[in-house]
Amino acid sequence: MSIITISRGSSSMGKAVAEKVAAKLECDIFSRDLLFKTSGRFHVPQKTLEKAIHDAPGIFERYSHTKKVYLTYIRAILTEMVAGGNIVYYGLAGHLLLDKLPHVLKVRITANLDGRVKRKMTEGFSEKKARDMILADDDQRKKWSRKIYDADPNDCSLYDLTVCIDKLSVENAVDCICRCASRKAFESTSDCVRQSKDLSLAWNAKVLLVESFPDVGITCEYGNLLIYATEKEAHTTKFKKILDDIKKENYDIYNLEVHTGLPVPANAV
Amino acid sequence: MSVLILSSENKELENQIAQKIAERLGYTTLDQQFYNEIAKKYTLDSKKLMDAMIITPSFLKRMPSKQWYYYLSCVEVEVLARLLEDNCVCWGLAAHLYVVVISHVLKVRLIGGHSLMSPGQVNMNEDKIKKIIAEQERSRENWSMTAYNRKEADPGLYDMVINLDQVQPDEAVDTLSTTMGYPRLKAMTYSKNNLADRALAARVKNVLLKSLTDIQVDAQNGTVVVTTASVKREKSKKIDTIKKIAAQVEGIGYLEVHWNKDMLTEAAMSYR
Repeated sequence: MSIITISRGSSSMGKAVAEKVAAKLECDIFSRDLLFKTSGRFHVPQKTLEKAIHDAPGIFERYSHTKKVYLTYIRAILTEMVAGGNIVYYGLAGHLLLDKLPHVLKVRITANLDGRVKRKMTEGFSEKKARDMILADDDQRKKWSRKIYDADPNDCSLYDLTVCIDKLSVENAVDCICRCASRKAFESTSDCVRQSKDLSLAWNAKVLLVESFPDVGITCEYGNLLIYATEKEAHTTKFKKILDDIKKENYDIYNLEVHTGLPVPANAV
Repeated sequence: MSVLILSSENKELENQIAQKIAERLGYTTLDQQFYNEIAKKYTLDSKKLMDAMIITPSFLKRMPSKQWYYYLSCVEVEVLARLLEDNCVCWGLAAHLYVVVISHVLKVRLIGGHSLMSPGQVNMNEDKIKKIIAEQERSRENWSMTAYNRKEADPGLYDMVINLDQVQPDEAVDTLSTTMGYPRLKAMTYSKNNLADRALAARVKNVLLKSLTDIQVDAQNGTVVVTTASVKREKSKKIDTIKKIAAQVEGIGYLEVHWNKDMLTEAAMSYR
């Protein structure tokens, strides 16, 4: 029962590694399916979701919270998919979207620029075009991570294992990842499954609140949902109505409490 | 038939992991105790040699730039000579900064694991530990940039980075021991020649740094290229000196000296 996220730059053989890891561990594998499912449930075009998860916020987006809303939708679906376990996710930002789950093995595949350019050229691009595309993509990813999560995608502390694909072959990298996934820290214990389910509940509750109350924080432990909001927010009719909806839609919620005037805890979503 | 180079901010864990891997694979070890041997061979002050591997050149710390570069070069020469012997685990000697693009050398960075620190350090509060670590990282980055123009924490410098916050040290030992067995890391004639070229370049640089400054040395298939800079009127004198000194080094097939004009000194002199 492993949950593995594989992050990589474009043309870094990450997809090949992810597919082989999934085959070896007999896990489900997904990448773009996440956006497909999110789009289907929340009726947001896939392109818009892809932009939200790939491109850095523009000048106007910094003042609105549309990206935050779309990311909440994506995280709700992702945590739902992950709650079942046995999954390899090699799509965008997996290591950041699932940062609250300690038993997820977060892997980064790196490759040197020249090798990446050569691989990109096999898709029919000239050397200059291939290089420009890769650099532009890296730059966009860096900006996105910095703006949304204040993190650098090249920062190794975000991952449990970073492997350079130029030195080790795809097969070696796969072997390394599979061995690492079998370690105790990444075993999916009953406590881990419970944590995943709690996180999924919290994100699904956030989905209902995020559009009108983007700054509320939600934590969930053993099905007990705690919502951190301001006094003003908590007394609005809209807020109360949404709380009723949350209770109705999520049968797994054991208890729901609203805390006002308290600082939002660091582990809140 | 391969070499493992480890690098980490957490010296205690690095030491522990490196020793275990060497023991398991039956490899020799190369660590900071090697400084004493180097100091003895080159008749250097071993304390100063160790300091040179930590601090950047500074007049106040009594470490002039010329001496500092020479000390670093002595370490580089001796470490590379030892690595030529293969089957070795090396750590604490900054080898990850000067052993580059050698296919049978696996370079690994160990990060995190601060919760596994010694009891004395654990008693500190988390903020203090974070502050100390950040300070250490800044100073190491400053050192590595001055010495080799490379950032020590740059993941591009390593073949593998393991985060010890989640992975236990024993698990890291398992992973690395298995990785060292991959056929890709077996020493080939080509990779051995590459390492031999690096060692040759380091030896040439070392003899030149005894009396000269502003020297870069590269070697390929026994051909050594020395790049230097000086004012124009000293050009032939400097080239002759380099050729004369470098000739003492064994193993040079052909020696080439590339000279560049030292624009700054030239401008200063013409102003006078």
